[in-house]
Amino acid sequence: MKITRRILLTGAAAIAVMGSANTALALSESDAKDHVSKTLDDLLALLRTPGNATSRAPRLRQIMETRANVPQLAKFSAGRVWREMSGDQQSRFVDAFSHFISITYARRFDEYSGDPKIALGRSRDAGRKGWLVETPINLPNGEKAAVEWLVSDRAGSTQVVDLIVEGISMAVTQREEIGVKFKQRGNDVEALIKDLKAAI
Amino acid sequence: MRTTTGIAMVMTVGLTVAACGGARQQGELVADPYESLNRGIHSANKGLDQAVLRPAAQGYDLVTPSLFQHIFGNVFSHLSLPGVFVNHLLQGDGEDALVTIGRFAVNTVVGAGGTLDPATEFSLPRENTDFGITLATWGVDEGAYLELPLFGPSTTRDAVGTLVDMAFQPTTYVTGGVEVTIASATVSAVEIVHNRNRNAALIDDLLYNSEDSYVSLRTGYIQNRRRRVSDGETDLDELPDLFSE
Repeated sequence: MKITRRILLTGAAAIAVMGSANTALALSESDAKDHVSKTLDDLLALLRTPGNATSRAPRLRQIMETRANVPQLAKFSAGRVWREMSGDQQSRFVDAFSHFISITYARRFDEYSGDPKIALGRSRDAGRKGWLVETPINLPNGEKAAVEWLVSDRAGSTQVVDLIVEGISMAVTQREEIGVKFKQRGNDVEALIKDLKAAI
Repeated sequence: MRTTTGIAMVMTVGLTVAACGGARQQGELVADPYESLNRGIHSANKGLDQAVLRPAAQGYDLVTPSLFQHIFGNVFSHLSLPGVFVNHLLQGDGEDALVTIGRFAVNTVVGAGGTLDPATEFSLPRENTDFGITLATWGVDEGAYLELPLFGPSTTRDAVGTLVDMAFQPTTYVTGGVEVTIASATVSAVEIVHNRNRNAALIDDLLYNSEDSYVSLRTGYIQNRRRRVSDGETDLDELPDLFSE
């Protein structure tokens, strides 16, 4: 009886401690929104600088590496291939992946040229995955695009972990695409890294 | 009465088929047990697009002034409203059903038979839906990924939805002599070309600018459909968890 009580008490204390630790760690909605807003400022500034996909890609890469968790995105995109890579291959893969997505998105970025109107919309709590913040865009041609950012602090600092455009997740889409590239190169990690790095 | 029995039969078959779809593995976007068959159909579809549909859409874009393209778009949208209305009802969504019937009435009368769209200005916007989504709201699983001949990407659930939606289309029942049948077939053909042209950049990108167009199409289609099923919102459960592995 006594033992049971002690165990219960210890258990309760432990839960209380864990609980408070969790609250201290959990990302707040306003922090998530603030992070998205800063990311948008960076991106819009880049969009206003004259140039094309090739000239914008290096700066876009900087923004992504500052505001998003690129290594984790690379690991997720590699899927099961990640475990087949050596430590050295993993770090070269992250570098090549970062280059590849900055080129890909700089090209996609061209479609938003002009002066798109972007607003911070509502945000939803996605539990341990983080906060999903909406930033609807009105394009200069009158069309609208639904854009959402998944923000998390699970890696220690506040970072974007996914970008969702009209329901299409960048992380999921990259994962599918990297899977294809790997297969098409006969499951050759080095060939995959080389081709990602060579993307222009 | 006969139509009802028909729909009930299609639905029974559909529910059975949808139930047969494979479960997806961890880390997999969608179950694709029929991939090799699907890939065969995909290359046939892509060949058809390259040879016929894409050039037709480009020709259509070239010769059809944008005002007429706009009017055609309105008409196709208008003709699909009865089916959309039925689906809203079947989903138990009375509000969207009312909006849809109001939209149909306003655009028929004030919008010159559906060629214009004053209803959107009157706060009667198009609330899109289809029988695939109806099945989803009834709890039918997405099932396995399918690529259908001519229709393109689908799932076992959406394939049944497409069949039933064809039954809901008013143009399906126009059988008033050869001339009318030809006219309704023409409407369908122009609609396909119109839609191919409207989404030209996206479709070209998916089909011709990707390393594996089969996977690109599958990735885009599945995510887009899931969003529609969850009422145009991103489903939080489907968000990727980057730290799970």
